[in-house]
Amino acid sequence: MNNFDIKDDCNIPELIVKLCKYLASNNEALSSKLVERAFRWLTSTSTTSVSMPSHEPLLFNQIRDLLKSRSVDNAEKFELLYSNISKSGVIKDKAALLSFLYNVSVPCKEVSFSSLTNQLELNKKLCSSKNMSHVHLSNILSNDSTSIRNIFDRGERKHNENSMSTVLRANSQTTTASSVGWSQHDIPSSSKSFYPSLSEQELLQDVIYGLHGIQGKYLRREPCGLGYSLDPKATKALLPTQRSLLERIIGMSFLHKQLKQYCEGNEKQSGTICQAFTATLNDELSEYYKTVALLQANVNNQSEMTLRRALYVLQEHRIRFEWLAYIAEQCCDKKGGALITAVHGFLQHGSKTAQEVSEKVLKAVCKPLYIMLSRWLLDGEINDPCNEFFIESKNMVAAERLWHDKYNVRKSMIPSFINMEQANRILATGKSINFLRQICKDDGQLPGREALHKLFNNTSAEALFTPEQSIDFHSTLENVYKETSLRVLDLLKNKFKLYEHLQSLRRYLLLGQGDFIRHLLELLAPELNKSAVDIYGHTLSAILESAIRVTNAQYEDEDTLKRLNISFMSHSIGDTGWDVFSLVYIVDGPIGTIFQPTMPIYQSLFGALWKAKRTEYVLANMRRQQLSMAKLFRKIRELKPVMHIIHILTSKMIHFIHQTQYYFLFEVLECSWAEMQNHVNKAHCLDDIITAHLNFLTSVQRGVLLDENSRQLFSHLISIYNFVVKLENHQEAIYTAAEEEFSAYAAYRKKADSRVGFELNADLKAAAKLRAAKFHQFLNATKIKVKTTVQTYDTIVTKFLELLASSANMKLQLLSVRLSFNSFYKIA
Amino acid sequence: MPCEMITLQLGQCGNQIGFEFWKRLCTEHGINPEGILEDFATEGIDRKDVFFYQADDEHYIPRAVLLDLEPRVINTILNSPYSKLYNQENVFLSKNGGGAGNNWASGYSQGEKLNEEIFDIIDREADGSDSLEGFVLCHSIAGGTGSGMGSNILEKLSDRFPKKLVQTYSVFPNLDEISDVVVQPYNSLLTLKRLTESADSVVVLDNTALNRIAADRLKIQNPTFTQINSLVSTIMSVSTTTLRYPSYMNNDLMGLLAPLIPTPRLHFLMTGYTPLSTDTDEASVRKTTVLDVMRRLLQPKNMMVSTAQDRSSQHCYISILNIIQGEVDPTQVHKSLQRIRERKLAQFIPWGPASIQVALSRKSPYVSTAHRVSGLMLANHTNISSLFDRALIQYDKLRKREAFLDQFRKEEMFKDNLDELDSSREVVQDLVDEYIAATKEDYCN
Repeated sequence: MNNFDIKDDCNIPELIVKLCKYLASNNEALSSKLVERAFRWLTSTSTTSVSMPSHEPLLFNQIRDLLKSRSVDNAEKFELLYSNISKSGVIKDKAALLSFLYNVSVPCKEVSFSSLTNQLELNKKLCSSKNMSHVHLSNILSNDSTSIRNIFDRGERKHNENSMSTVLRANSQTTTASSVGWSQHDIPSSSKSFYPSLSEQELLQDVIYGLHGIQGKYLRREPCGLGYSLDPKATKALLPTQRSLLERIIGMSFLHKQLKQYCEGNEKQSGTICQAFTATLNDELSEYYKTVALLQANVNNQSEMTLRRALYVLQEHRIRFEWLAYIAEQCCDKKGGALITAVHGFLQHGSKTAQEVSEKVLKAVCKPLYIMLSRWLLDGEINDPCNEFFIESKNMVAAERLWHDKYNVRKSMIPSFINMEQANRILATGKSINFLRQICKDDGQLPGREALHKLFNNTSAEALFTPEQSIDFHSTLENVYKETSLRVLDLLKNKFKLYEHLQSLRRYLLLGQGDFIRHLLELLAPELNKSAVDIYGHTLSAILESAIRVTNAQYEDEDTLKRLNISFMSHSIGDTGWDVFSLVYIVDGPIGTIFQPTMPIYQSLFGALWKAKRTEYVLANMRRQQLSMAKLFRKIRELKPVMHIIHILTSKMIHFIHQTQYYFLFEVLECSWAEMQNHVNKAHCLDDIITAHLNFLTSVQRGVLLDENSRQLFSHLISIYNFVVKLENHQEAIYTAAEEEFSAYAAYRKKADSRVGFELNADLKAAAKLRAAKFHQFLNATKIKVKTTVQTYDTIVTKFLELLASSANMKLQLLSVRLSFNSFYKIA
Repeated sequence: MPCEMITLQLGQCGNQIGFEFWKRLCTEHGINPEGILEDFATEGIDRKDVFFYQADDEHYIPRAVLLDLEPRVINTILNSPYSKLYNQENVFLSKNGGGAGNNWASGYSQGEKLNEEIFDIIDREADGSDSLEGFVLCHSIAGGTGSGMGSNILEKLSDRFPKKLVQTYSVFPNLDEISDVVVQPYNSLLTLKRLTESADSVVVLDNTALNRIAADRLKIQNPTFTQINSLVSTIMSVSTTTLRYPSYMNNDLMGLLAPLIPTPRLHFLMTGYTPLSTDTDEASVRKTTVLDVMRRLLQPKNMMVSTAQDRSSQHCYISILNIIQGEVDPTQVHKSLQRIRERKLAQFIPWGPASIQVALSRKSPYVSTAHRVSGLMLANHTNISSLFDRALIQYDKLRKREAFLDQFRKEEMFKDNLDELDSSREVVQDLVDEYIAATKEDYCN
């Protein structure tokens, strides 16, 4: 009765009077009689209700029978109203309500039964209005009680979609708990008689249909979901217990449908690993179908099969299905290694079932991976049309890029039980096989394969993830990796002469073979001084040949010399040969893998070192000329002051160039080389060598000011080099002038000495005087020019040293110190 | 092969040190005394062709010209196991065989007379090389042939080959002992003029210092010529090591000399070598580091030139080149240089950048040494002028007395006057002045 006083502020007696008035249809006498009865019953419930069945279905049946005896219409109406009330669940003590109504109506035959049904209708209205308020509170717009169910359903579905897991887990817990409860207190068989006319058999049949995924009489497929719901019309007579049992069993069909859908959805595309997964699912499904078939047989046999038993029979499958569905959900949109990773995650789950289920799935999905892995490790082959393997192979890769680009680790596909390092090892092992076969054309027996064969023969896929086996597995892998890597190294070092090529590159592209480079420079100089347009490649090639022939390069390996060539970069107007010339070293085959990608670096290094070398060469020649000038023109005293300035400037430049070159070649190149040698000797695999080599080049690049941070320094360096060429021009001009003066003076002396005649002599004298004056003038002009050159040179060198000193690179700071060892340049 | 050097050895001293030099080169390059390559020697490591050429019969023959006015030393060479090494056509002995009598003027005029014959040999040698770098002249400045004929050849070389380098290894007389050559000061001065004007680089081998080093450092009380000459040959061979074992830098003589000689006249180089050991004394200094070597090289007692310690003047290094051989880590070199700089172990010129240049060079694989690291210093130091000063003083002493000039007057050059002596004195004085000037900041103006 408490339903009433929640709603209204008037007290209970008043309400009862009101109710009775309504029931008696304004008949005063009947109304007062009813009131009296009602009050008596209410006050004496304890005594009267003893005989009264308090069981709700019983009361319901009695009332219905009572009504049926008068009017079938009224009985039907009652049924409908009752079902509405019981569904809404607002009235908690339905039995009490029914017993009140029954007691009020039974002894009083006068009370029209239509009014009794009216009363129920009233109750229902009250209930719905109360629901309304609830609905209102929860801000969900709904007008009638049926929509409430919709809301509830919607909520549930949302739950399903959002996280099947939590709901299902909760469900499974409650169901198991409740089922345990049921088995303890077995439901009395007498209660069966209270069940509605919907027979257990019928329901079971429907349930079996549902379990197969077929729509039945009572179970309707949800319009936009996988699950089933009870047809509200067909099942209004269901008891709540039945309903809950049904709903639980229906959950099973939802899971079944979900798994089936996953299987169907992934049948066509997806690769082998996914197929392995669906196969496992299908396996589980067929187990399930077997159970369902047995259930069907039991139902057909009219045996004692009940919904509850069916639920029990299906319980095991249900739990497995829940996990499978959850796993399937996690694996949705995933394939290959990612799928395996997703499954592997469940292996550590606390639930034993989850562990079992996931282990079964994992074993299945790892099998294709295992096969791929064995083919990759044994033969370096990849058969992976659906890109599931964690190593990918690209098509169309140039031979020397095979090692670098063809094979890569597909990070997303690495199973979680293989770490990145292991993946890289696996990559390197197979890559090495391909490298040996395709690039090195080595068909020899690969080392460590027996062990690997044995491994793959003796273990199965679970070796990948079961801890005790995977240790063994990975240690074998490690060994195979090491041996294969060593094989590659061995081949590169011995058959393909890796060291020799490194040496050759150092000797020729990094100017290590000093006598050859010096001679080449000497031979090339006249040619390279020409404009780039006028130089022919074959001339330079011939020069290269002759430089090789007469220097120690002639003792070099035939193969190395064949690889050494000249290259002529594209040139623009005004370029001289110096700007476009370069030495190249042709690398191909296996060693190309190491060297080809670094060739541009070698080119730029050669360019920088060659420039320095050329500057040194120019200065040496200037000095040579100075020495011979000092001897030749000893008698031209006027030459001395200007030449003295040039001498000093030249020696400054020589000092600069020798110190920087020493730094470049010994402190940068040789030190980096020693470091690389160290690393190469210690190398375990090809990648170690590649890295060591790259580090070497980067360190040299940084050392010779070719890196990003040294742009400004390098341009300063170039301008210092340019000063040398400028000074060379001055000296050349002086040399020509001095030579002219010298021979003219000699001719004059000769003539003067021969004493041809006085007049002629005077003319000659005047001419000589003029010539001498002109020479003086020239020398003075040049002296001024040279003096300015000295000043600008000093400024720019100081600036360069300041830049070096402020560099973040410690070595460059020290170079700055070296260049001004006696503190001649004052660095700010 | 480019950058060939032709060696001219003159007179008793020149031929002796030359002989030692070739002996040493042969061992270093794995060439036996007959000029045939030893079985253990491999090609490609060294460059033999700088100093040798290959005859048709696979013999390695030194690019050497042996010149003397008296047969004694050359005959010793020709009777040694190395007699077959040399090209017999390059051995020139004056027919009169009387020598120059320790007289510069006699040597000079004999040289003048034999000029054509000598230059026939030199020209032939020069034509036989691909790209001749220059000449190496071994002689002493005190005697007659080496100084007199040497001076004549120096003059002629600079006329005939003005673009070729001329380097000399010039032995300066021992001033600690009384020389039996009384005209030594005249000889020296006259030769010094030619060394100043006609040579491009002079490696000064000071007998005073060499004897002192033999006595003090090697504990040899009365060093023999051979022992002294072994020191000299060490210096000669190491100073050419970068030419013979190619590396990144200093692969030709010009490259080696360019940083050492700032202006054409300041080309007199001192040398120092460490660790020193002779055949008799091998275990003196074993544990050597780069820093040890570089520091010792800066110590005057290791210098092969005896210069007077003149505290008043600001003598300083114009340039230094250290040729370091052995197991050297380039980073050590850098550290050593830093140390030397911090401790101001070397004083440098104030008018331009200067530093210790280092050349890391390979060693001959066929010669085993007791030392891990060894170093030769080639230094251009202004204090070398004290040597010339001394020569001037001795000359002035003699000249004041007009002593021993008769022998000179007999020769063509001094028949009319002694102008040549005066002009030589002037040249040497100028040289001394220039070295002094080079200690001052305004030298560059």
